[in-house]
Order: sequence, then C-alpha cells, then structure tokens
Amino acid sequence: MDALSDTTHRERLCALADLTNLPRLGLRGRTAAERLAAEGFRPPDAPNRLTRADSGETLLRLSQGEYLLLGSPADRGARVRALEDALPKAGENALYFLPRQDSHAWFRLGGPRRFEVMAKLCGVDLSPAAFAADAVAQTSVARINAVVANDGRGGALHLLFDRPSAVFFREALLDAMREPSAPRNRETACLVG
Amino acid sequence: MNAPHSSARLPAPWGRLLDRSKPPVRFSFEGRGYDGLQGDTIASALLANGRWILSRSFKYHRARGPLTLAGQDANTLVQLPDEANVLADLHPIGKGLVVTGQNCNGSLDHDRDAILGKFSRFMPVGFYYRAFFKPRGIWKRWEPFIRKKAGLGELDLAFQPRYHDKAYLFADVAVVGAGPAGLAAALAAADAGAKVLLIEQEPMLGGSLNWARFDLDGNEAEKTRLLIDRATAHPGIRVLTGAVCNAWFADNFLPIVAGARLYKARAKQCVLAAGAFDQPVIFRNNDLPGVLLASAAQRLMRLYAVAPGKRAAILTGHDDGYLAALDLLDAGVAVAALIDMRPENDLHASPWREALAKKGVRVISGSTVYEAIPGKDHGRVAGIDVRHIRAKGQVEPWGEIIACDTLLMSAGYMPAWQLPCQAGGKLSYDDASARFSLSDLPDVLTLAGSLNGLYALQNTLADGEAAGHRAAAAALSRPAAAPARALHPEAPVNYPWPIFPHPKGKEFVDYDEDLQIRDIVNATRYGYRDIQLVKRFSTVGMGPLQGRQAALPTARLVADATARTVSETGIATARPPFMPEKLAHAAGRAFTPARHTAMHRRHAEAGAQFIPAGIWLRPAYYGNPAARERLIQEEAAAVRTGVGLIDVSTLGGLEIRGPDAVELLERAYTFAFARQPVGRSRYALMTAEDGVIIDDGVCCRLGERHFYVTATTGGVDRVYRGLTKWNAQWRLDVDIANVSAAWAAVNLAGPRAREVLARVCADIDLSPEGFPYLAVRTGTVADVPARLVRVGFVGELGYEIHVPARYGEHLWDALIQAGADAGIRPFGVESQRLLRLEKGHVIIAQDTDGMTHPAEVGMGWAIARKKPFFVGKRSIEILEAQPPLRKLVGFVLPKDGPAPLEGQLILDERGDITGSITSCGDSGALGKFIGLAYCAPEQAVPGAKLPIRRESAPGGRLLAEVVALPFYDPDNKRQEL
Repeated sequence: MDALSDTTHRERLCALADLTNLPRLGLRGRTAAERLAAEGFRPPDAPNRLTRADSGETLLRLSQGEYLLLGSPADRGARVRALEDALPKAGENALYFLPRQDSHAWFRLGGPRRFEVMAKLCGVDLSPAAFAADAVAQTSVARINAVVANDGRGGALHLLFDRPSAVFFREALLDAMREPSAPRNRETACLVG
Repeated sequence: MNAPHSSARLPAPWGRLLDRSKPPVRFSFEGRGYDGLQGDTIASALLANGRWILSRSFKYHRARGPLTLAGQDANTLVQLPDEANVLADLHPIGKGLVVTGQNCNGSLDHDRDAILGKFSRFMPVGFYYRAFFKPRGIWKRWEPFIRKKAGLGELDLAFQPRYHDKAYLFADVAVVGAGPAGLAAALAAADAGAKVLLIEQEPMLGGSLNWARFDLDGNEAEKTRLLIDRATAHPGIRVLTGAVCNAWFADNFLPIVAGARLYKARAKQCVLAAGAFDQPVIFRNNDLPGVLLASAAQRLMRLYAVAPGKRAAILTGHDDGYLAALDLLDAGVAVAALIDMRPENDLHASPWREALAKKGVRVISGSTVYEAIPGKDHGRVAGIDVRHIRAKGQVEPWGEIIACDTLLMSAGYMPAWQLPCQAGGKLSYDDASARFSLSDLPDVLTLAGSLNGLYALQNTLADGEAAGHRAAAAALSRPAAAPARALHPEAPVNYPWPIFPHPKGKEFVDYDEDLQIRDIVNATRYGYRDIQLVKRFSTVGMGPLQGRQAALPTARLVADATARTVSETGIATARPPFMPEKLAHAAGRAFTPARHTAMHRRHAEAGAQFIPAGIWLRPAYYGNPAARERLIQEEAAAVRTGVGLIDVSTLGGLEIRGPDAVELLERAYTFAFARQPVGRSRYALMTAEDGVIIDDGVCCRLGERHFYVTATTGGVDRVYRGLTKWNAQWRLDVDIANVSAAWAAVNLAGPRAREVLARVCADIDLSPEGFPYLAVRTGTVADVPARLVRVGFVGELGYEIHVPARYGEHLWDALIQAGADAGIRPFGVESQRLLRLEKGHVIIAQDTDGMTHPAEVGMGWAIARKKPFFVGKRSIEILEAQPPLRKLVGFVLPKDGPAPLEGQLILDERGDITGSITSCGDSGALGKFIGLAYCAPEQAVPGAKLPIRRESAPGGRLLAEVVALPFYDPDNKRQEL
C-alpha cells in the first residue's frame, strides 16, 4: 500500500512512511539558489524554512547557501532525479552537489499525534505553537542528527537523518509511536521510488 | 493479628478519592485477605480494616503505622512480590495484590528483632563507625551479621523489567503543586496567555483543598475547589496528576516522574507552589501506631473516608489543630482533649476554639504530650501523659494520663524547601518568630503560597495569583500585570520548641533512621558542629524520605547544643531526587544509536558475527563462534590464495571540491598533493598541532579541483570538523562534504580479484598497465556508478569499490555471484586486521596513541618536508630533533610457544618497561606469531631479542625477535600485480 495516498489513515493515525527510496538531493554554494530558481523551484527566503513546488517537491533551506530538495511522490521523484543526473558532481561555478539520497534516509511522520511522538525523541519543542508550518529544525532526534521539516501543506513531518542509522531510528520511532493510549498508531511502508 | 480497631467507612462526601460504585477490591497483606475500595491506597485500605502496623523501623524494629499518609515518611514501606520499599500510602490497591511487611524477623506483628529496641543505649549515634573496626580484623566477623540485618525490602532477582519511557514537555510557565496557590498561579498565567504545565503529585488537583479545613463549617475549601474545574477545563493548562517534580535544574529543566514515564520539562518560568510539611512533636514514643500528624488524619478522613480511631487527642502548636479536632468530631470520633503547647496568654479568641468549647472538648493550654503510652493492641497508643510546659523543652514532673487510641500532632509547618534550595535559594529561619523565608532565587523561579510562609487560604490564593501573573509576564516578555493583592496578617504557625526530652529516650527525631534526641545532641558533643557533618555521622536525614520531618528538629537541636541560631546552623543539603526514583526511570527509552552498512543484511544472512566499530556494526568473521580462530585463518587464506570480499563502507569519506581544494589538503595533511595527478591516489596522514598522528586515509584525485579523501571509521568526524574549521580560518574557497554515509564500499582482494572484477566491470581497463597500483578510476560496476581505487591494505591485488549507498547491496550480490567460480569468500574485520598486520600496516588509534608522532612508527616517508606548512609541521621538526624515546617494531615468536597478547609489556634487560604490544596475531601465511610493539630505540634492531612480560612463561617473560617490516611480501610484488 502506498501510505501517501491513504488519506484516511493519514488523518486518523500517527503513520510512519519510509520514503528513503524517493529521490532527493542537496545543493550548496553561492549559485545554488540561482540554479534552483532556474529549475523552477522557489528557494525559501531564510534558512530553516521550506517551500513547496506546485508539482509536489519540497525545498528546504538549511543554511545561507545549502538546500535540500525532496522529490514529489506524485511523479515518484522523476523531476528531482532528472536534475540530479544533469548536475555536475565535481563542483563547478560555486555549485556543489550533495548526495542526500544516499547519505540521508527519509521518513515521513503524519497524523495528529506526530508532535506528541516527536516529544518523546527530541529535546527541542516541535509542537505546532513553537514549530510553525514550513519551519525546519536541524537538531538531535533519538541521539542522532536529523533534519525535521514541518510540511504544513502536507500535514506531516519530514525526517531526514543518517542513512546507516535507519534501522535504529525506525525502531526508536515505532517505540515512541507505540503509546498505550494510542494503539492505532501504525507504520506503513511506502512503495514509492 | 492486628484488626480489632476495625472502623466502618465514613459516609460520603468523606472519601473524595473513593469510587464506591465499584465492587470491593480484594488484596492481601501479611498473608491475610482484606477488602478495599476503588481509589484506596494500600495504607488507607488497611487502616479502614483496622490494621495499623504497616512496617518495622529500620534499627530497633519498632512497630510503625502511618505518619503523614502523603508518602512523606518511611513508616509505610512495604514489600510487593516484585518490588521492595513501596510506599503503601501512595500505591493503589489492586485485585489480587499481594503485600507483605519487610525488615522483620518473623512477622510484622511478632518481630523477634523488636528486642533490639531494648538495647538501644548500646547502639549510640555513630556506633556503626566506631563499634565494628576495633580491634583490627573484627569487621570480618561483624560483616556477615550486619549484611544480613541491613537493608529493608528484598529484591526479586527474577524480576522482568517493565516498559519505562521518557518524553519532553515544554511550557511558558510550569507550576509545581496544584493546591490553592498553584491553582491560582496556573489560572492567572494561563488567563494571561501563557502555555501552562500544572504538575501535581496527588491523583487529583486541589492539594489541601481536598482534605484540609479552613473555616468553621468547612465551606471555604469547597467554594475554592471551583478552581479545580477551571484549571482542568482551561485550554491553556496541561495538567499532570500523579506526577512528581523530582528536582529543579538550571533554566527550569524539571524532571517529572509520572507512572512509568520520566518527563523532562523545560519552562521559561516556573512557579513553585509545593506547600509545606506538617511537623511532628518530639516526645517519648511519638512513633507508636495511632500517633500521626494532624494532616494525615484529615487526609485519611477526607480522601479515604476512614476515621483514625474512636477516641482521639490532639497535640498542636497552632490553630489548625482546632480545625482538625472539628473534623474528628464531624466524623464521629470522640475528642478526649486538645493539648495546645502555646501558653494560655498567647491564645487569642477564635471561632473554632469557641466551637470546640461548645462541643465540650477540653482544651489544655501551655502543655504537651510527654509520653505516648502503648496499649495491648500491638503497641498502639492507648493513652498519653500530658504535662504542663515549664520552660523550653522542660515539663512539670507530674502530669495527667488521658486515655485515647489516636493522637494527632502538629508542631507547625516547614516549607517544602528542597526544590527552591536546589535552585540556589537560601532558607532562613527567624528564631524569634519561628518563621521561615526563602530568598536568593533565580529570576526564572517564583514561589507561591506556603513556600512564602502564607497559610491562610485567601493569602495563598492572592499570592498564587500574583505569582502566576508575574511568571506569565516574564515568560511572554510583557510588562508585569496586575499588582499583588494586599495580604491579611497571619498568626505564627510554628511552635518554637516542640522538643521534649525524656529520661528513657525514644523521642524520635528521625523516624526513618530511628534517631532520638540524644543521638543528635551527642553528635554535637563528639565535635560535629556542622549540620552536614552531623548528618553524615548520625545518618539523620539519610533515610528513604530524606528527613522530611527530621530536618527542622535536627537544626533546632544542633543550634541549641552549639549555641547558635537555626539560621546559622542551617539545614542539610537536599539533593535530587525529591522522591524515590527508580533506576528504570533513568534507564527507560535510552537511545543507543547503531549504524548498519548497506550490506548489513547480506552479512547477517551469511552468518556474520558482528562487532562494534564506533557505533557501526561490522562483521568480525563469518560462521560459528565456536570455530572463530579457524574461520579467521580460512578467510585470510582465501584472500592470500584466491579472492575475498570485505565491506569497508564504514570508512570515512570526504568530498573536497573547489578552487582551493589542493591548498587545503596541502595544509591539513603531511603529504604533498599539489602534483598528484588526476586518477591517482596518495596516502594521507594527518597530524595535530602537536605533531601527533590523529588520522590517515587515501586521497583520490578525481579532478583538478576535486578530491575524494577517505578517513578512519572512528576519526572521520574529527577530520571533518578540523577541515571545516581550517577552511573557515584560512578563508579558502573549498566545499567540504562528509559523504561517509553516502558511499557503500568493498575491498575486493586477492590474486583473483581482477578476474572477478572483470566479470562485472566492462567500461574500465583493468589491466595492470591500464589500472595500476594506487590508480583511481570512475566507471560502472554491476551497472551502477562506481569509484575504484587500487589499494594494498591487505597486501594483495585489491580494488576498493565505492558506489552510492543505495546500490551497496546490489554491488555485494553482484561480486559474490561473479566470484562464485573463483571461490570468493567474504572476510571480516578480524582477518583484515591479521592480513594488514602481515604487511606491517598500522591502524591509527590501535598502533598509535595520543603521543605517537610519525617517526616513531616509521612514517617519516609520509611527510613532505619541503612544504612551507602543514598542521603539526613545526612540532614534528622539534620532536625529530630530540633523541627518540621509542619505536614501533615488528616481532615474531614461534608457533610452538605461548601466543602473545595485545597490551603485554615490553621490558629491557633490567626488567624496566619500555613499551607494549599494540597488535599481534597468528600468521597462517608465515607460520609464526607476529606483532607490533613499542620498545626502546636501542631494542629496535632486526635480530634483537625483545622480552615480553608474561607471568606464566619461564622466567616470567617471552623472548620475541625483532624483524624488519613488512612480515609478508617485503617487495610488495603481490599488491602491485
């Protein structure tokens, strides 16, 4: 089942989807924003913010000159994959490609209890009042570095973290989701990618 | 048996915590069945059944009943099957719950060790420290006896851990304590727009509103209870009941224990409204069952609908004792007398005194209970000896015996000082007025209610409200809101000297530790004037409840005995936790990150035995642990004779790109990279500013401005941080990316490696000329993009193949399949270590330490001395100008002798230590034990004998032979095939 299309579950449950196989990439350098804009994306105005493209991609700005582009489930990341193929890897014109699909795993945590689950894993206040829609936090979650993005339009948190730690992190998340008072929380595998 | 005082439950509304609509709950205590009601604690249910002895005291095994009924004394500690030292006045009953007493020899009712009380004069204060260590050696005889007698409950060693977890909480304002002041503070803060966290130890909000009486008819508390509904319904307040804030840490970091969860709360502002502790009066036998604090009796009645007895007396030093007497009368308990310690002249007319008089209750002023007299009901109080107070702590020689089965006592209140003092607050006591005050608190902390010395309900509400306003304003960065309401004057609540020594003793100051007045006074006579030393010598305040009732009388006694004031004496430090905290709370949901390579599943399927490498899990070897040594040798032999495959994905990987990439590498590493051709790799050694080796790797030049540099598994983060810092410091134009996780990598090694690789790699010329040793190529392997490096770490023809992590498993499968005909064998870290040892290659941090500079390990060749600068260059020059202190050498030992072990010491002729073994192993290729060791420079000569200390060997040492490195293939022909 494709968790992303299961809107009923998404609204009712705290659902974890593994989007690791969906394309994504990083860009860094003085011309990164310019290149992304040329590709039709809208770079966020400030670090630690995100924007969504109409075609479904999510663009995170991680620092003054670093961006993380998440592929869209709608086209299974085809647009981002094409950009990755086109980008120079050696670093040219102050534009540096970062292999984020391989360095980072990608989970999406949806459902109304997602903030509660994160409060069991992260010492930073990620409640809606403190962590607004379209905000990005680069912090420690379950003792590993993670990028947490509050996708307001998508109603979910994107979690990007060290790929080799995916087994550990998945267990940590599931443990946090297995709250006795929330027995309906569930994990769903994503077939995208 | 201990049940003749059985009392029926009081009718509603007594019993606020009970749910009488539910069927009775059957449980057992000391092997006998009891019925309780839903909402009962173990203690309340037992008291409802007339069972008063709940425990035996720590030292003298005296029968003890509840004292506070609030979890603030050790008298209610009981044993559950899988848990010791459970507070019976907090733990709810459950169907089938099996409860027993603890710390008794026999049964609670008939404890053979109770005779110890008769020998108390032979166990004076500090006798543990003085009695068991002289004469010399006597401790060995005492130890088994004391160990058997020491401790309270018993551990269940078959206990299965239960799930405990942790969670974070965030608030603008945290309010600790939900009594009247806490409720008022929470509501004021929330009404002002703050996000409030309200933390209450009891199962319901309200605090004293749930059990205390504030006026003649008891209406005031009931009216004020409306605040509970408001707080519960307020959208800005998150309520935690049954939750103990166990400490205050800097910046309002509050650990809160709630059931099986430990919350870690962070609040911008904190209001402490934790209330005060009711204080006992210190007189002989003040610990008999049936003698309890007045507040405990009120809790018993109001919360659990249990009358404490049939005929009670009250001993008080303030007006609240009168209100407790009214409660007793309302509950149908006869009140034999109210003994007020205050002299008649100090007593003002009060409506409740008049009310008591109207009800015929006798008030005896200026008097105290000098002794509680045990009865035949298992020592429960049967009467009291009331004496007129003649002077401070002194009574008339004669008195009056009053019969009663219950004695309520209250000498006054002591603010819950623990958390404020943890926040740096200073607790002061005015000896003249017997009032406490807390000062010097941090700006993020506000006190409210009893902690500010306020006890009148309207005052605590006003104070709480003001605290809430203040905290909300500060948290929300707004100007302070409404001014505080004026407070009404209050009468003192503390009787200044409620301590009455008795010639026969047993006036307990510390119930937990069975300490009497003379124990504290004698401690000062031994010279322990400081309260902290008195605590350590006497153990006062070191029991399970950390001196809740003992702190104030101890301070008073020490002050009096040392001619100081209580403020000068102070009280002992109250460290966290406030309430007993299980190790499970600290251990619950502990995160232990572990990293798996992209091929991890394949290793597990192949039977790998994993070992940690940092937080990575790496295959040590493949197969049954029982055959470990054989398997390691077989894996190594496969590499030497055929082809092997090892997962080296844990290697660090750094992408160095940009116009100044070469410059950065030239400065950061010891070697030279300026003339390194594209398509070639070069060894990269890194030293710190002090010239010590800190990491190594291989630097691959992929383009003029593009390098891919590997680093050690454990060192890559440090290298990345260092490069990033230097890049900024030197203002170079370089992009540094830590791509360690992004690349999966294997080393395909062995004489047949080229043959196997050729089956899955068509777009790279793999011939020795086309892809020579140390060359770097990019292309595809098994149809996925790859970077390939000709390496020689294990001393055979080898290819390090790096692919994007997503293809790691695919690469592994393809190579295993391609090498099947050639007998390819996966090999693990253990055989890799052996193979590299045969080549004499050092492993950073195993063969080097925090002092190793390159010359010591024969790496002078890896230093480009003509470079104007690299990190550590100057230090290396200085170090190399000094006489060498040690050298790393290779050594061999014959196989027919004992094997050397890593860490064993190297000696010189005199037997002095000159070094140690850093690596060693059983070399199948050489048929010898081989190793690397530090030794004195004069010993580092091939052919020299190297003594290795080994106690079991003849003469206590093995004699190894120093040999030139490498051990294997000295001409390096095999790796350069």
